Amino acid sequence: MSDGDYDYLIKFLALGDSGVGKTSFLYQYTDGKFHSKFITTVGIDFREKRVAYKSTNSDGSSGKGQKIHMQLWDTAGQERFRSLTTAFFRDAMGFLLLFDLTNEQSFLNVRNWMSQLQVHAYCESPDVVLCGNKCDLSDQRAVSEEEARKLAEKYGIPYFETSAANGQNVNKAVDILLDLIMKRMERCVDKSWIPDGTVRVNGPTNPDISEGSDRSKCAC
Amino acid sequence: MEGELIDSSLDLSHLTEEEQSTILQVLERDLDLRHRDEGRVRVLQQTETDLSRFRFLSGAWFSEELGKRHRNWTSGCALVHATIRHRKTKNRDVPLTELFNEEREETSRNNNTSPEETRLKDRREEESGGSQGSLKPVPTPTTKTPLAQGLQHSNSSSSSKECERRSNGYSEEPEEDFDGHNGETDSLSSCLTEPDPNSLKTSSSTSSLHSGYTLSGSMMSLFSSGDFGLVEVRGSIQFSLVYDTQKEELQVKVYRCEDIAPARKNRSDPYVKSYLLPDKSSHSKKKTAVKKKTLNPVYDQTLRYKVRIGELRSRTLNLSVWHAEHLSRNVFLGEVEVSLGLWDWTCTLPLWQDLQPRVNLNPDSITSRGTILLSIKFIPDGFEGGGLPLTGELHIWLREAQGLLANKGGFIDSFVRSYILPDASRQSGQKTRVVKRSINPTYNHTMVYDGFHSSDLREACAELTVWQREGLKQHVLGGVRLSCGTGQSYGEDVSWMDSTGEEVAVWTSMIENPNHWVDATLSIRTNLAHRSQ
Repeated sequence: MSDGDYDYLIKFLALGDSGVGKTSFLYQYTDGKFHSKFITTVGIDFREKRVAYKSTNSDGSSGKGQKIHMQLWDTAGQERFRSLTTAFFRDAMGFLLLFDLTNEQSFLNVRNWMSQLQVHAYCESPDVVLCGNKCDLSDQRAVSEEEARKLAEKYGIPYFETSAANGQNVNKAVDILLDLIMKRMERCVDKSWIPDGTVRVNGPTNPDISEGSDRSKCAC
Repeated sequence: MEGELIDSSLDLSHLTEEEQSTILQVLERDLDLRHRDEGRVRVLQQTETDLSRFRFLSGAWFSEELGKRHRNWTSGCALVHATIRHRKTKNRDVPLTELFNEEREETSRNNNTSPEETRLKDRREEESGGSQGSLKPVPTPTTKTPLAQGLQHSNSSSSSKECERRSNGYSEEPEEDFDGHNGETDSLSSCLTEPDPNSLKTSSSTSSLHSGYTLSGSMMSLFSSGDFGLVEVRGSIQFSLVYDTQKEELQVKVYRCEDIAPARKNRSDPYVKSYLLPDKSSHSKKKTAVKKKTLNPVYDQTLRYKVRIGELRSRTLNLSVWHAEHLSRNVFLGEVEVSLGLWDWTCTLPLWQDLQPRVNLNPDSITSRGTILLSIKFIPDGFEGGGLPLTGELHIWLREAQGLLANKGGFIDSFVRSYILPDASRQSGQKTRVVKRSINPTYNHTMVYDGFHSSDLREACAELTVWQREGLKQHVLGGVRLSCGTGQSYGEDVSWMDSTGEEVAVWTSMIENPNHWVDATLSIRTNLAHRSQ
């Protein structure tokens, strides 16, 4: 894993309020495990994972498999680390914005995080996936799926209800983000940028990709 | 934000040693990953012939995009890495081996003394009351913009030194002068507790020292408690100012002084000290060498300040001449102050200015408490699904304040509070966290207000006030009001629509450019018209 034997190095960053589950989410993604003990992240950390990505050609057939080495940055949600963590936003190609479904304030702060991203990221409209985490704690839910989807739609980004505890939608969320980045690149390589149109996020049973292509500018 | 230069400094002074170590370890791991990736890219350069494919495989597409947006941004890792390492080396008496590695290439420039010896030498000289340029200007790294290309290990020494230089310009660090009793001290408190018997002889200087602060010239500042008023100031100083836009450096060339006052029995051992006010920290303080036994010293020395051009106009250069006294406090021989906002930068020739005595001024006559940097954006209300919010949203991104001037000078704990008038209810108020011990605090806080229609903007006023917190008490230092400045709101005369021309310009620009960030650098003024709370 620590050799240079991969095709792409992709850097993602997880952000959101303290305690929403960013560290657990990433740990679930890379190791498939979950620890319930809360240990606050000191400033910043990262995990790595090697995955295979298969693009789809325009005729629907599978493209060449690509080896992706992922570097997943984990940022502290605590305010005292804020100036530190925002400095790292610029290094990431895509973002996982997490909030806690059992904590309304963390949801309300999504707006502020998006604002920060728009300012600090490498471009004005980077690829972001919104995750409402801790969906396994259904009796403690404080944010409805509907209002979360509405917010995601407002920003033109995909939304997933995830659980770092049982793994629900964790892989899916990251895979979709990866897909967004790879497609952003592929569009440029083709040099013929045909907007794919925006496929709206429909519902929990059919989470299509909301491309957000009207917002993301591919400048190559 | 196109073409905007974001400040690259970081204030990590609030983190504990342990936290910094932990973070540093993470960054080391990241460095490893980067090295391995660089190896891969090097191989790729040989094998991949398709240029656009190469751009994506190597990740160059990303760095290019980043570079387009923010020209002078270093990678976040490089910035934090250098900031922490710089802080760590400053905190220890014995230099780290890391520092040795970096300084090895500079050893030859340090007159063949080892870095450790040089450091100790500096400290000893400080104690003896004069300094041979204690903050040596760091030699320019030989690689061109090493940071913009990401952290390369072989260049890490020069690039982190570059960052060091930068953070020297901005971040606030506790003064570590070893000046004790015998040298100049830079804290007023030590002055008050250890009154120098000499200073008591002159009534004017005593009263100014004991009144809580000594203020000088047009910019209020706290200076070291040297002996003022002992000598009758005379003579002049020759200097020139050059701003190097490429290096973002202010070069203060001190040529010489003529006919300065004798501090002791027909002699003086003068040196020149400079500050870039209102910053009176160690980063702002620079000194020339001491010339012994002369009233017409020749220096031909350049004091360099790493400072952005935008920040220059809010600063005042203070050049003071002192007699270096070994056995007691240094003696003040006069000073000049140059308001850089008014300076003619096309004039780079040396000029003479007469040295002035120190003057006391009233803190009430301070009109500006520093500068505030912010960006503001209005997102107009739109229909659902268009990616626009349902009601208009006002985003105020408070970046930082510079040169915060409290009454007592020096470091303060500060925060910023915002209201959108006419709504001054508690719910409307938002505030940043308190940033401790800094006169250039980075708040990095975005306030979002919604419920607006575009028409409301002309009647509203975004009031941002900067507060100082001392223990449990807090008081306002000053603020800005962004509005159309019409003096009226919703048909009524109000006192708080009193924006200055600059503030009006920012607000109007925001209204006329919806969905776009408007950047502003504004003076934190003290004359906000009073409004009933």
